[in-house]
Amino acid sequence: MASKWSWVNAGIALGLLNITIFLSGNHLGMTTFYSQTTGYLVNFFFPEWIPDSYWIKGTCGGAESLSAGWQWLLVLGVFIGAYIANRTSKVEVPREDIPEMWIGRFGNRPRLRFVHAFIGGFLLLFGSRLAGGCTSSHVISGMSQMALSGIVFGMAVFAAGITTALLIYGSGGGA
Amino acid sequence: MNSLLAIVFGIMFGIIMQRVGAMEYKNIIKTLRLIDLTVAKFMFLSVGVSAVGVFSLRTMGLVTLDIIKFNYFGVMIGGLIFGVGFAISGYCPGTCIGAWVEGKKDAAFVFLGGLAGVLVYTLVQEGILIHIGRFDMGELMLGDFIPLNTLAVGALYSITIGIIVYVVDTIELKNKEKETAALGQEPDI
Repeated sequence: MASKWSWVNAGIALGLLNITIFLSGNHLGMTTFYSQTTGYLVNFFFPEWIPDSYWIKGTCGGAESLSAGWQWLLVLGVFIGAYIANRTSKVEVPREDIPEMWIGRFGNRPRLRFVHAFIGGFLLLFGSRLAGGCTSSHVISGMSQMALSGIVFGMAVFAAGITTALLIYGSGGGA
Repeated sequence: MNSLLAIVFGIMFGIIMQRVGAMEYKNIIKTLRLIDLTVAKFMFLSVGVSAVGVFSLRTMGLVTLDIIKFNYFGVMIGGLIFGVGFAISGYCPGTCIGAWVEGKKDAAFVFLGGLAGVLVYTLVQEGILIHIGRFDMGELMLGDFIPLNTLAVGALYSITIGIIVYVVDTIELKNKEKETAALGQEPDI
């Protein structure tokens, strides 16, 4: 098996996987994992600060409690899957601390990159919770059901994402 | 059994995302900079393939839809915030976990930022929900607005997405050809 899949083969594979997930009565989503993990950690260290039900409200999983539910195990699978794919890949994946493209723009400053990464991650999940889902649940799963929420979310993500990326890197092409 | 399925589906999802390169910062940013739209084409092709399958199976009664409510304010503002985070981090909530497994240190910080984002949202959500609750239009999908058989709408939707992806790909290929041609001609001038 080749080590990189073309977008056509991978797109068809993901489509078929998505259909299978629907057939099993579930649906794809990554955000709930974050809510369950954060909720579990906070409740472990600071019980009675925030009620359990607050954590799950508005996530894409529809879980009722903070237990390691279906969506949590799905992300555990992604963890294992990425590991398997990495280990079996014939193409060497660089174990870089920070991306080369980012260094080309900002210089070799790992700490600054980690700050950017943290802020980016914060916005990703804050936005996901506000919107009720992320790229997996709104775009891959939601848009497959022609959901208005998914279509509008997808357009908003790309509108803001393209604008921000062009502002960061400048509109000139080139790698 | 269902729990086992979750892990199996997760593994397959992780392998596909890794193999197509969606777990790499440079590929996400190349897409957002409109240099190389591979990740976007991959995502939307999968939506096109899924939609026709999902609506066919629904007609046979094998699949029920599970649509996220359309709170147009929440979805739009949430999507815009997500998009900014997408461009700054270069990862999604799912792919940063895979990238972390692959040894990308910055992806771990995206994950930690995500946990912080959830915490802050949870603390302020009561205040937000009071104000945006009225923008909730319920579980809406395109088929609700078009007076046709839902399966037909689903098929048209899939075909439309397929055509858009094909056209984008053709334009990209032509641009690349032009670039190589321009580079090749330079020495002659």
